[in-house]
Amino acid sequence: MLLRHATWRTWLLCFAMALGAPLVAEAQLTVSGRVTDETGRALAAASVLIDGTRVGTVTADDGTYRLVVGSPQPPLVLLVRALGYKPQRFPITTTSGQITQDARLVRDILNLSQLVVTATRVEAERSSLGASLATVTGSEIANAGVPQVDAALAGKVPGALVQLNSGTPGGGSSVRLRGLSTISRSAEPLYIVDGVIVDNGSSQSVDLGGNTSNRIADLDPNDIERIEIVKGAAAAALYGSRANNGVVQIFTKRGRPGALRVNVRTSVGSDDLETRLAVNRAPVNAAGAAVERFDYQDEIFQRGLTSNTSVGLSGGDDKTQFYLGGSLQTQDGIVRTTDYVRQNLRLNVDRNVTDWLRLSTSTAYVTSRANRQANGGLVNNRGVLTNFLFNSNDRNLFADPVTGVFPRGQLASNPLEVLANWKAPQEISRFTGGLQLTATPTEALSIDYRVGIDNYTDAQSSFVPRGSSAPDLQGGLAISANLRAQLLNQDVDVTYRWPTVGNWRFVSGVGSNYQQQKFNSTIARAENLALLVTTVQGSNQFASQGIDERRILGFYGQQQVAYGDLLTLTAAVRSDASSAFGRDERQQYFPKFGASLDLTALDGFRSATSSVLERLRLRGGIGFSGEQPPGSFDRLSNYVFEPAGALSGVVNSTRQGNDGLRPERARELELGFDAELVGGRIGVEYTFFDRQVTDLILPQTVTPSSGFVERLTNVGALRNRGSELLFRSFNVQRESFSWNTTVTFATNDPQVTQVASGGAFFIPESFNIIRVAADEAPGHFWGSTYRRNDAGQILNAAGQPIQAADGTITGIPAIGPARILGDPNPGNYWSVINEFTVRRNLSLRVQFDGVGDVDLFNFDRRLLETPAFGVGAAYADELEGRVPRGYFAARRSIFEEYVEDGSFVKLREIALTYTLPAALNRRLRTSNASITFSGRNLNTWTNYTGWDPETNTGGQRTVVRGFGFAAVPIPRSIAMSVNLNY
Amino acid sequence: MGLSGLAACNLEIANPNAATETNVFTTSAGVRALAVGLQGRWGNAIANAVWVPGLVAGELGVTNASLAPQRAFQRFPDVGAITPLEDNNVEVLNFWSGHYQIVRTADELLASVENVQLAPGTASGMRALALAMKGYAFGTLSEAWQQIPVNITGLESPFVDRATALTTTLDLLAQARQALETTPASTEFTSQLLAPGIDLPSLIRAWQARYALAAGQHAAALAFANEVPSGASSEFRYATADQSPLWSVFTGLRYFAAQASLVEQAESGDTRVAAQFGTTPQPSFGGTSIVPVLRFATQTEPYPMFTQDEMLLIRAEALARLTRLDEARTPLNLVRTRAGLPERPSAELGTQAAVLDEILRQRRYSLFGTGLAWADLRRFGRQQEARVTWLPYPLNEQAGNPNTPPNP
Repeated sequence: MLLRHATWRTWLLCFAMALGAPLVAEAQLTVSGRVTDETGRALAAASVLIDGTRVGTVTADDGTYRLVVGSPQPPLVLLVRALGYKPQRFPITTTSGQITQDARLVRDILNLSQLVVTATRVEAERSSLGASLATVTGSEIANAGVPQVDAALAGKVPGALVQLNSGTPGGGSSVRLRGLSTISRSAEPLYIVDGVIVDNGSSQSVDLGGNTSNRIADLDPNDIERIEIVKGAAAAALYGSRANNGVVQIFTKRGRPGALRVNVRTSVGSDDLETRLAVNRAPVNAAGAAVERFDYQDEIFQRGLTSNTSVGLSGGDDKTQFYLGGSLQTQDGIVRTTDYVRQNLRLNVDRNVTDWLRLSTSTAYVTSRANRQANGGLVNNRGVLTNFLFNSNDRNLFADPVTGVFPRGQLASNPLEVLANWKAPQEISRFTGGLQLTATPTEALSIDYRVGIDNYTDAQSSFVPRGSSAPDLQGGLAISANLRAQLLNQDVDVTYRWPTVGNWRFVSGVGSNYQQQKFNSTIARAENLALLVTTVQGSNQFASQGIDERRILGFYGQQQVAYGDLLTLTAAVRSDASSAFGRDERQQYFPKFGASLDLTALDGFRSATSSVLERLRLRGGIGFSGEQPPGSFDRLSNYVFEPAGALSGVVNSTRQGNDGLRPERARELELGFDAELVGGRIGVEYTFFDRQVTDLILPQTVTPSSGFVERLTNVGALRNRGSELLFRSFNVQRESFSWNTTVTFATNDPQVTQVASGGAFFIPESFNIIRVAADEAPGHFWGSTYRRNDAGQILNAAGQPIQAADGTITGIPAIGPARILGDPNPGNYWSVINEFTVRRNLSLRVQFDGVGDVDLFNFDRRLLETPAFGVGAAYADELEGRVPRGYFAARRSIFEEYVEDGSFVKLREIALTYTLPAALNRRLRTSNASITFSGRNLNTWTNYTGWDPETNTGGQRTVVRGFGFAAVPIPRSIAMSVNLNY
Repeated sequence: MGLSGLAACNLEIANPNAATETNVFTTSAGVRALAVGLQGRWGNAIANAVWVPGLVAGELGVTNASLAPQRAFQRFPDVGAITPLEDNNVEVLNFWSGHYQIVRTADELLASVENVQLAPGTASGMRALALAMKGYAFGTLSEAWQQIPVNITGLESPFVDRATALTTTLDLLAQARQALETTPASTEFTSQLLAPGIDLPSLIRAWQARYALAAGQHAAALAFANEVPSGASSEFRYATADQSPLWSVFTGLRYFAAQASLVEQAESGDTRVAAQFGTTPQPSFGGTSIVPVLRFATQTEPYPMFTQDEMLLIRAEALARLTRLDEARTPLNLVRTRAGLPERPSAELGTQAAVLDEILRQRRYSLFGTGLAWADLRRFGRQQEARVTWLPYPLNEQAGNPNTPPNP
């Protein structure tokens, strides 16, 4: 408290000084110059400062800078740094007058010099970290041409698997950093935006069949400056019990001193369906009668228009800087009647209150509306794509031209009636605000205080009119579901840099972190609706509410020891207490240790390795992290509502409480190296990781005579083990032409190592196909097989092969025993990015993404050839006599048939950008103007026979992966965008 | 701001969605809610207690071959594709655990009634309710499993044989009765805590009669049945917010239907047939056919917890087994006349076997949809007609409780 008062007094004093007292000029040194890259091109926004002090500035657009040093204290070293370039240091010998110092920076192929904060919570060069940390720049995200930040990360980070679960507008993506580390919880990383912990939930309150968005979709990619991705526990330990899935920290753009800068970016484009499924064209039905057949894909899919306009204003003076960003995103879905509109506004302000206190704020508001469409998925049988599959295509599903009434659906709804009459909108309104105070009372001491708020409402509704085409919803259905999320985090970080001892440097850090989150969801539902009413008013009304609230309090301490540039050691421990942990396990500890050894700093390294090996760094880390229990109140023995007729009572929940519930716990070991070769023109980063997750929280059965059925217990274990490789090469580096290649490649071999007694279990809402068992991949497919003989031939019920020597099918297959059919966890995933620049004006970027060694369950195909519906082309084989009658009726029960190789290669991004020459810019009064033609997901190479090997009917669910059932495919997008800077 | 935030960091957050043990056990509102919840549990558990024995005894059939766990109980399986009735069957678990949840809540109510201040009549009403429900649960379980735990001691309760279980049931019911006789239930209990439709004193006597008969205590069964006033009834009344699980499985989901043989073998003019069974048979398994069940037609249809016919037939059976055939014929013929059938002349019911035969026949129609048919087969020595003699012990019980006997 004393310290606080003293601080306040000092603050006031300094504030007064800042306002009133002009600084007395003593000896003064002015350094000016120009910062360029190797080819002489100006580098804007490069930082220039006196090393070890806070005296610094940034370069203007033409690369020039002017730095005034008030009272220079030798020895002076000028440090010049720019993102993507190796920093340079220039000793300055004079202490007064004016000197000129230009800098010509060399590209940093692996960005090892980049300053990052996420792993250690204090600014550190990437090259000092023991565990790997990946960075992505804002322009890479903004240029990806996709409105969702997480989707834009696809292929850009080695070891990050970004899966686009649905092509519905508004997104729906999963990010897996080194595989999945949990079964009961979300496997998404922890997202932090400018120090604010933000929610990335995927609530599905109405039946969307997994085509749900996740809340990172609310961020505007245009606002992003850079992203730091911490993949594993070895680096994420400081985030404690929320870090098992890694941490993604996003930094948004901030103003810098200088004239007002204006960025206007606008793009228009179109999305359409990449792959159409071949439909049944047989002119007869199973009874032999002539029929007309339809391809309702024509009615369901459309070409959708997209547009995005954003404006960014930034500027300020030495005291105050600001960034103001606004954007409007519109997207029509490739499924008719679906669309998405998002409006973002962001204001980031920085203020140097005194020369030792800086105040930074980040505020963002977003509102969006998505019109989605019902899809049954794994929950029910209604909806658009679901009922494309569930209606024989010899049925005329069009509305009666006179009455306008649509025919009833065969099994459930009529997809055309769903498109015409059903509604499923989602509206988001979200405020995210962060405030940070950075105090540096001395050069050596830095104190950060941060508070972050994330507050949103997610309103989802669903409307099915009276007299709908769904036989079970004749009275109509209206649902209104609201989720209100309130998150708060408060952090204090204190860093102290001890005086150096020879070549030894020491940095200590301590801090606290407090998180509070509350999710309040209400759902109201009515059946037998009042006529012409679209809200929840009907004769059968139901409402319910649930609140999930938890608090986490953490503290950490960290010590770094560095010896010159050679060695950096980091040791830290975080302690976490969470309201969701059982009372007996309230306090948890997560230690980490990392080491980085830069052999380049050794005397004689260069001469020993000749000129081929420019730099070699070895690194390693081990760390522990945790994952919260699924429900905030799972530890308690709860007494839940139990009515007896009209009376209200309570009884014990059949899930017993567990006051010994601990977080899931990961122990990760990673080892790797970074190498720069051939004069820094080739860079290689390699990491091996082994993540062992224990204490997985799973339901465990309880002796039922106790009156309980199950309880959540820390019983499971799994592991992820694999490698990550980044290879980057500057193939050609000339002023007239340059060509860079980046390749990322990652492997992972996930395996569940332990589950509760009783062994294997099926994941709920997975049609009893997705299974978890010890010594197998998490969420593998399980089901019936073909009956086969020893030679592998498929047999009929009488034990004879069903295939003749010439390949024709002559028999009906019989069902064999159930077994594991496939693994939806990719064994490897990779990307290849090539960037070409011609004469600085024309650049081409081409990115291919690939996923290998993966199986998918093509449930769509199973339904397409199910005789009752028979929409698929395959079923015509039976109608037209190429396979025996009854063949498909038998085959649909053999799930082995529908597990397919899901490997694919996608042409993920291709972008051609023309930057206007200086003369044209002058005429347009722009400082920099460019025009880009881009394509995204233009082509897919795969053996998978469904719409899209990337989508998943499970949406963002953790273990239900690779399930192809009526998921909206990822659109093929093209766009043209204009980018103007003033 | 930072300090205030940390000060506010209380890590004991109350669950707003549910009550805690402390709330429930130590407040009178909590104990009252538990008394209601106990009855709610009965209203849920009854579904398994009706359809599982109904399938085992051959009174019901499943409508759909894909209902594998349910079909495993059916007496007339598809020959060649018989689904084995295994201990991992989820419905074996549901039947068992649903009744042990009644037992748990009853035990909690008995314990917590002592913790709070209640009017003496309210406390005795709650005690009687808890004892009766617990007795009922053990009685129902002992008609399906050879041995059951009746003294719940946590996760590893000991098992007792059927005779002991039935003795326990009768003891509990006697204690329930005693509680009400010592201190009659208060109006507060009967009007606010006991579900409307339940006549607790009569219900206890009816259940005493039912389980005394099961235990072979015929004189006692007769006495208990005689104590149930004619015209007394107890029914469980479902509501929109508490829908009938029987409606769900018979009408909503249409999982089960009645064996058509019930219609085919009925005497003409039996009003119970038209009231309970549909007329259009559909093929079922093992060469049988099934007809829809007309009862359980709405979400809120009340379910009778005992019926006058059951009391009459208990009296008839107890008398017949005590070889008081003349007296047995009176309630038996009363059941027939209530169903629109003529009385059967004494000559036709001259032997004990003939009377018992007629009683069993009347029980099939009067007590259809009560789950009592399986116990009837056992009492009438026709156990071989049932799908199984006893149900297997649920796998989870075997896994967690080393006292679980081997499966029959």
